[in-house]
Amino acid sequence: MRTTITLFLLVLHLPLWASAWEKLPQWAGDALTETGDAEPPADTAVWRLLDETEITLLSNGKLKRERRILRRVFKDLDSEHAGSYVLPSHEHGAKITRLRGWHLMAGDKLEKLDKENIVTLGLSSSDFVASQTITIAGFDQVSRGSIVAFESREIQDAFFTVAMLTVIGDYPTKKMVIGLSTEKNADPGRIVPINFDPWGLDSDLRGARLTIRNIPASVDEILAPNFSDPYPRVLVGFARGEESDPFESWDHLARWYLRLFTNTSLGGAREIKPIGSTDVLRKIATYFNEKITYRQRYLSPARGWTPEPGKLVERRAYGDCKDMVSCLAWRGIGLGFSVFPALANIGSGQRTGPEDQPAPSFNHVIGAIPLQHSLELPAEVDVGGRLMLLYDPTSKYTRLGWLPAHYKGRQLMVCTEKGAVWIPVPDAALERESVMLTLGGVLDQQFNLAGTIEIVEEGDAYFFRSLSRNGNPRDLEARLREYLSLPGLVDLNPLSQEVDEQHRLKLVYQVSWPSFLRRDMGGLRLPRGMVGYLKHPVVQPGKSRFHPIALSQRPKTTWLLEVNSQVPLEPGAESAHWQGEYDAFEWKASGGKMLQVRFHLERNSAYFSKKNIEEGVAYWNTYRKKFNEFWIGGTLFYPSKTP
Amino acid sequence: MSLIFIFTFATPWVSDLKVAIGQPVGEAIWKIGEDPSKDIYDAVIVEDLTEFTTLSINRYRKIRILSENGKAAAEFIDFTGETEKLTGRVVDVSGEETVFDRKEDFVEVLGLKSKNRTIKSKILVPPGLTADCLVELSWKIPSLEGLPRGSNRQRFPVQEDYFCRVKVFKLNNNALRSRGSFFVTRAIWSTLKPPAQFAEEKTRSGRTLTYSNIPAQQDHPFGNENLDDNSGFVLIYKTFPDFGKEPGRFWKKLGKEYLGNIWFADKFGKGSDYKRWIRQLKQSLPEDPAQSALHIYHAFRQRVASTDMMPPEVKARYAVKGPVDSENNHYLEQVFDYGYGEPWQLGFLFYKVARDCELPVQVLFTSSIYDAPFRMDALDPFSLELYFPLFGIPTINGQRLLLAPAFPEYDAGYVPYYLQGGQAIAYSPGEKWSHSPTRIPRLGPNSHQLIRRYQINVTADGEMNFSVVQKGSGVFNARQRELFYPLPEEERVTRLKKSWQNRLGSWKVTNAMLRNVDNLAEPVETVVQGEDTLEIEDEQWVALSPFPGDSLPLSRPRIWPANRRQPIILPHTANQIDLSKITLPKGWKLRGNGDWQKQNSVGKVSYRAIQKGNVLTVRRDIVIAQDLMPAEKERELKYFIAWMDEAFYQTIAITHGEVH
Repeated sequence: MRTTITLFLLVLHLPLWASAWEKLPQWAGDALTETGDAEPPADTAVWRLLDETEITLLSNGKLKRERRILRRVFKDLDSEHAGSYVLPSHEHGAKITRLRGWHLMAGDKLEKLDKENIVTLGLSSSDFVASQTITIAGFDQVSRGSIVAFESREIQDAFFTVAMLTVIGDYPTKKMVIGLSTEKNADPGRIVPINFDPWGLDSDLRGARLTIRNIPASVDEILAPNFSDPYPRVLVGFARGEESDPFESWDHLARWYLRLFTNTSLGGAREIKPIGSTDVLRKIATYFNEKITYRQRYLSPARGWTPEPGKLVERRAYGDCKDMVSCLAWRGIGLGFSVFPALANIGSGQRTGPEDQPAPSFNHVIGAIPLQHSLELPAEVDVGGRLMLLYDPTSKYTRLGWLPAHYKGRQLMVCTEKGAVWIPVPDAALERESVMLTLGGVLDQQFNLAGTIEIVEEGDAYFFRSLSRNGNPRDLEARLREYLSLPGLVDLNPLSQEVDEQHRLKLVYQVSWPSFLRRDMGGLRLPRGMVGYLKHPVVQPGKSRFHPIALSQRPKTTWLLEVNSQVPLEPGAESAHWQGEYDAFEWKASGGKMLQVRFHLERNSAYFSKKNIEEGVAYWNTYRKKFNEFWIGGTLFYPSKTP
Repeated sequence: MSLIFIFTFATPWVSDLKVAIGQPVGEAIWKIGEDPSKDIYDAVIVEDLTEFTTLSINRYRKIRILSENGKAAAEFIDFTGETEKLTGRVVDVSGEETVFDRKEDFVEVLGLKSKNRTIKSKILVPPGLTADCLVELSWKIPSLEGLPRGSNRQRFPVQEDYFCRVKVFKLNNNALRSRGSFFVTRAIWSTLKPPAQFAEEKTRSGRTLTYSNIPAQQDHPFGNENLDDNSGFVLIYKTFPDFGKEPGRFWKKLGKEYLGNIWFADKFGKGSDYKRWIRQLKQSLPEDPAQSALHIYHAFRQRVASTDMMPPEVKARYAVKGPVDSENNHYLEQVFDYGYGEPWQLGFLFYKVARDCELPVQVLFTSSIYDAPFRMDALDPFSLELYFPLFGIPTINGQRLLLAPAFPEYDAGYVPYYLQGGQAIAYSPGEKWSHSPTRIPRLGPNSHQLIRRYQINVTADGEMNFSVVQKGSGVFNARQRELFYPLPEEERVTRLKKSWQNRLGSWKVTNAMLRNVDNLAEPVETVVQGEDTLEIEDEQWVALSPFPGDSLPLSRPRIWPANRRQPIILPHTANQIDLSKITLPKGWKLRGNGDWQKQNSVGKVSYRAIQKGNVLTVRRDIVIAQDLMPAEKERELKYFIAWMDEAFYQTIAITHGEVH
């Protein structure tokens, strides 16, 4: 009897589902049918059943981009964005010609996207004057049981018909499809999946159509890379067929860019003149430091690559990296020198090199200035047999003739008449960075500290140098607190600020620090800003690591403490020392009425790919154990037994 | 607070503001520099003029840029794109001049586009701007009756991010007078306290307000510019024309003719379900009005949910019925029938319920602490949170029970912190909408209590488990209610587990449960259990955190700018008690003495650990005794935060041997 009832209910139930799905567009119904009764990934709040992108190169050279997204919601929790759809970064001339949405609520009520719930916002600010916009559409009351579908069509002007698409998102994806086609060419375009293997992605590439199945969601983990190289992505591109493709090779790209650069910045090629003295360099650096502000002004898609004419940059007194190099070249005419643009990738950009697939994968341009002879400057390099100085006009607080330390390990592509010359940035060209902090003063009975803190910064390690020159000392103080974990309750009163003959910045503050030593474990703990805190595991128990492991280089840091304590104290550890492959620390301490501590920390950058993850976990575990063992007892002080 | 003046406009006036950009730059301008003693950095606003003429608001600014950061003082974004005739120039210290009036310099970009409107914004980054220069700017904003088109009120702040030498407002009678519309334009302005100065000149044509030596504005933690004596303003606003200039008469008429007849007009149809519900409700009401109000409020909260906080069954109903149509003349009936409504709709429906139950209710309006405080003498009803009425019911001991139906996370007696402490106006609808000035109280620490009771067991091989029961009142309970009420049961547990797991480090949450989430009459109670392993096998002594996954009642700001002038306003007071009973394995004992207690006028922090047998009891008290205090208390507040921080990170050490 029971079976019959169940069967009856099931029969009743099935058509109900089917009829509800019919309210959705055909493609969404198909995707739901295709998913069938497949189990969603464990514990997910939202499952993207379909994420389809179709890009068409139109005969007028524009790109048509069509997207279809289908999401199923399983939880109210963590599903905040499930009801929204974002069309990012629309540039000048782009048009959204279709934007539709459907929300099938848990109670089977269908809600269609109302135009009231679509808004387009400009993204400009004073530092980013741009025609870019973002369009957001959405439904308000999406909850578990909801099915949400969106489709859109955009027509865009494109400077390049090459783009990089990311694959991993906040929610797991059942099926992702990327398809290319052209209106007029027989060649439908090309799709290159990058980095799919280490992530074990199930993909299928047939001609110009890529299908990827069961893509995991990204997860929060410590020591995840802040650069995009290790992650799967898809390079898509069309040959426009009108002119030679700049992405045919790096040499093509370099020659193409040099031509574009020279034509726009100077109005045409000029005779190459090397520089003969540092005086001219100094003059030009002073000009950029005092007169030109970094600002992006992107009012056409071409502006991602094309600089403004040097003369215009001069009038505006602002520009982005390529505008500044353009202005540098323009002023070079008057001062008698030439400039080659050098394409670079810094910060979170890829570590692009000659072995990579040519793509528009740069995020920075600096100048390579030919020299008549060596000027004994560290950033001089040999560029295909010509001596040149690498100069970044955007980095106004880097010493003349050096490059900022964050160029470490990067390669630059100097664009010359002959093609691309790849230059690995020499370590010797990088400004050295370190910080030394000295705390002195008196600790009262309640372990409040009154004294001074002296900060000596080499290079622009924590941007103290930049901020000390930018103006208001409040910003410098804010940065100090942030990087040294100095809590707000510590009063800092600036006493002096000077630069020594080794170009190090020395800052002295009067300091008043309530509860400088804090009661902990029956003793008195030094502040977290000085001794850090216990290191966390890099893998959660019972889980496997998702991201590769990346350790970021840190400036060498040394703390010196020398304070008179009204209560005689003894250190938990008189000395400790560890030297690992990437991390090192050294501790020396003595007590009595005069507390003395020297604590030195170092970290070099390291990267453990998905393949080498075990090695990374093992390294971190060793370091963590050593550090935590030292930290627990070592960074405490105790009242002396015999005063 | 500084004095305040009101001005309505009557007589004609002809503009005498003649601004000429391009005058020679005198030596005195280049002598302007940074001055730490006056907190002058980055830029100085040398002159700022705002003139209200018949059809426009004319602006002129002269800015001396002193540093790289200071360049920001000359940047200009006009979000609405209304600005006209923007011209100006930059004169570098070297004498080089860049005049700008080109389209290239004032870039038009899309600001916002939606179904009903498109706003183009304009961005100016003055060309030729350097770190040592003078910038002059002038522009016009098209306006009508003293306000930008389409605007009903505009506040012109006197203080800005940079030190300002002179700021002048010219209020032209002709420009600002009423043209017989329902709303009339008025202006009010404040004076400033020294070191700033204020002068007012009255002529036949209007008034000139001159503010000078205005210090730069600072963002203080727990600060509020609206309570700052140096944060002056000129407010131009529209208000009712017929209610006169005399405050008593104005507010009386507002109550009777507007609130009673229009604002709280009956938005109900037949409402037969509603009538039955009211009838039933009235049958069970106690005599005492306050008790009766509690009863009604409870029934109301169970019957109607806020769309910001819908429990699962209401959400399911919403999924079928969709949102309430507030364009409908009888939308309140829909709110009642559907059982949900926007927060603002709940206040209006509660008014009807209270009146229909013949409750002697007062309707109270106040301003948010994020706006200028409400003043009776400013005759400005729009400075009140009109969409969020509070309700007051007299209690037998002469107090007033406050209800905030738009904020159902708050139990009776509580209102959100940003509506607390300010001047308010109370209306009695049952007494012909008579009114009286009043205040919304700020509540003491015993109104915001949080208690966590831990039980921790440690075995000889280091296995640990804990159980914690948490319960709170006031804002603590409101937060819990807001978090859990809208979720289905199993997701409540998931969220509870997650929120604790995020704070628990190596502890693993094994079990969690909640009580009274749906029972709005009782505080939410949560129970969380977890386990961890303490590596004690080869150790002589180890650290133990007595309150795993705890939290603090107050944030710990990183930046406290010097020379605070603003009063300190904390979100709320608090009395937080954490209590832990820890059973230790045999032979282990507490090591060292970690007890302490510190106290000042802000509050008290104490930490105590006692061992009896193998049971260790640790208690930590954090009391924030006051939430509104003068600027001079900042040092004490910092010390209090230091103690709170110290107590938060303090662990205890246990040992089973002698350790040196």
